Amino acid sequence: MAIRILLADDHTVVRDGLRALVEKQPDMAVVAEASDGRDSVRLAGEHAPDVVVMDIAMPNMNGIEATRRILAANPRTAVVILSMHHDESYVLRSLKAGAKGYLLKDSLRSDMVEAIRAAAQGRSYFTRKVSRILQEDYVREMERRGVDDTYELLTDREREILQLVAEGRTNKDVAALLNVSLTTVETHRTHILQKLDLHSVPELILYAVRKGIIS
Amino acid sequence: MREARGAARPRAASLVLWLGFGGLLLGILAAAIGTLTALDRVSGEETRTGKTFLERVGALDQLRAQIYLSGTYVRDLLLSPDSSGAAAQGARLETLETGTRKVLDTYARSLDPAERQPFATLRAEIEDYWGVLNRMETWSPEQRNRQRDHFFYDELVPRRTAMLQIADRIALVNERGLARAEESIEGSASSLRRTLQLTFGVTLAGGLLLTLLTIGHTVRLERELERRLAENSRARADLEELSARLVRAQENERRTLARELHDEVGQSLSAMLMETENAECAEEPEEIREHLAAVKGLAEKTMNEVRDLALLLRPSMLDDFGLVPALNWHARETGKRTGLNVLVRADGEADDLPEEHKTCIYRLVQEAVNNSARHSSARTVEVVVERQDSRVLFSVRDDGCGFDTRFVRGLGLLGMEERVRRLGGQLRLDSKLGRGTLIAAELPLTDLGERNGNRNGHSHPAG
Repeated sequence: MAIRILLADDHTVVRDGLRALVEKQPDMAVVAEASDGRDSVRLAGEHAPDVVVMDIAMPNMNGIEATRRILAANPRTAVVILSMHHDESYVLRSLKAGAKGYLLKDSLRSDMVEAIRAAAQGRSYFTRKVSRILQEDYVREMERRGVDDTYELLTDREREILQLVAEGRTNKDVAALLNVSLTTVETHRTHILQKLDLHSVPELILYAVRKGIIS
Repeated sequence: MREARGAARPRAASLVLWLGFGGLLLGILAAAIGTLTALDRVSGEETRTGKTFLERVGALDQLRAQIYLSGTYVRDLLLSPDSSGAAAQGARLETLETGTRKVLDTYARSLDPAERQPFATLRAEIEDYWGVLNRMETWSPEQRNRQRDHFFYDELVPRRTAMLQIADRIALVNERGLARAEESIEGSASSLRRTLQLTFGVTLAGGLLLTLLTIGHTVRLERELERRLAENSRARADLEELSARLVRAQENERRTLARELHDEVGQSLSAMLMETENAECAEEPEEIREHLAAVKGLAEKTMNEVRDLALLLRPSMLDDFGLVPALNWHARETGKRTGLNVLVRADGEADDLPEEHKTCIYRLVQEAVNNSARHSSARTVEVVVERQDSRVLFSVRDDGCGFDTRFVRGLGLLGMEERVRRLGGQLRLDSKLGRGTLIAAELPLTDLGERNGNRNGHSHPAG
């Protein structure tokens, strides 16, 4: 069954380009197009798409707020953010709103297709360019502040779990994959957040992206 | 506060002037009335004294004349041969006697204490005298003939002499009284003179003091006026210069923007156009792909340029996420660009502000941080935004070289002041050479409620 997609962007040219790209894929179909944030929330409610490709800067409610509302109404929908900003505040807020993927508007189309597929499967996906820029920023920031790399504090098992969680897997998935108990996974997760001085899963994902652990 | 004090001072000054001049005029009036009254009194006294003296002198002269006349009448009576002649003389003497009594009575009405004793003696002498004369009148012609000489020379003349001597004494006393009265008048006159001198002295001194005060006050007012005028014209000149500089700055910004658009975006677009034309004309698929790859590269580059340009004009975070993320972004970008360590401390409440306040704070922080990066050679800049009940406080502090606030008045600083002033806030600048710079401001949030309504109505830049 094809991945049902909602495109949300206030520029018709961009939507047309995206539609052309998506419709070339045999496993994808565009079910609706929205031209502003409020519209995208309404259409997502009507069509219950698998994936929403969402622009951030839109009139009548920005893409991040729209993402939050769409996911509040239907958590099974996955949102991929499409933006021209590679600043971490955009990435982190997208993640906090619950977005699975973050793409830049100058991304390769293969990135776009892959991001939609990953999101449909419940995995995180970030454009390599975003990862690279965030990594560079992070390294520069660490050097400037003279802070030691906290990643060194993590055990091998914790790094493994960090990567799986950052990729978007649930605790249950991780437990099954590593063949350990759910409690163990939860304990590891708590340790990871403590060691890295992080407070939420979105921050953890951002961290993983900055470290180049996922892309 | 300052205005209230400024208004109170002229009121106090005019009160002083009114009271001063009013008091002076009243003083002069009182002095004039007092002087005139005193003059009247003195001259009245003088006239009265003179008149009394003359009356008394006249009375005494009359008395003397009557006494002399009585001598004559007595002699005539003594010499008269018949009783009818004697009776006529007796009647004359009778009239004279009444006359002397009348004069004495008149004189006694205004008797000086010093005269009382001699006057009493005189009166007794005169009564005796008339008693003797009355006895003599009853004489028969023979008695008169017999005792005539004896009576005249041994009785009458000594009595008369005694009376005249007493009258002279009284006249002397009277003269002394006159002298005393004149002395007393002289005393009143000199006391009047002293009073006048004092009054005029006081009035003159008061007038002089008041004049000095008035002149001083006027001079002060004039100086104040001149100072204000100078201040005004300086402020106007400053304003003119500021607006000229603002216009220049705006023009420069536009020039930069135009150049950026033309040189960068325009060039990229024409290069893309050329590449697409090349692709159209190309034969080989490989060649076409190459041209398209070039177009893609150019498009990416242009997109980044346009995004940077748009962010420079207004960071989209400010509209998309609010003040604090925008400040964090600016801090990161500044760090990336200049190596300056910008720390932002702001609570989430700082984001819940009216649009104008957010923009104001962002622009101020942007300007201040950019100044620190450009001029101060600071290593760290700390940005603090704190929301309190009805106001928002924010500050930018660096550890750079600082500057002398007396001499440096940059356009940026004036722009900051203007922005803060427009929102009813206050800007504080604290900087010393070698001691870093602190720019702090406070914006009131009194009408936050009514503004909150259209908080979400901002527009989005294209992205």
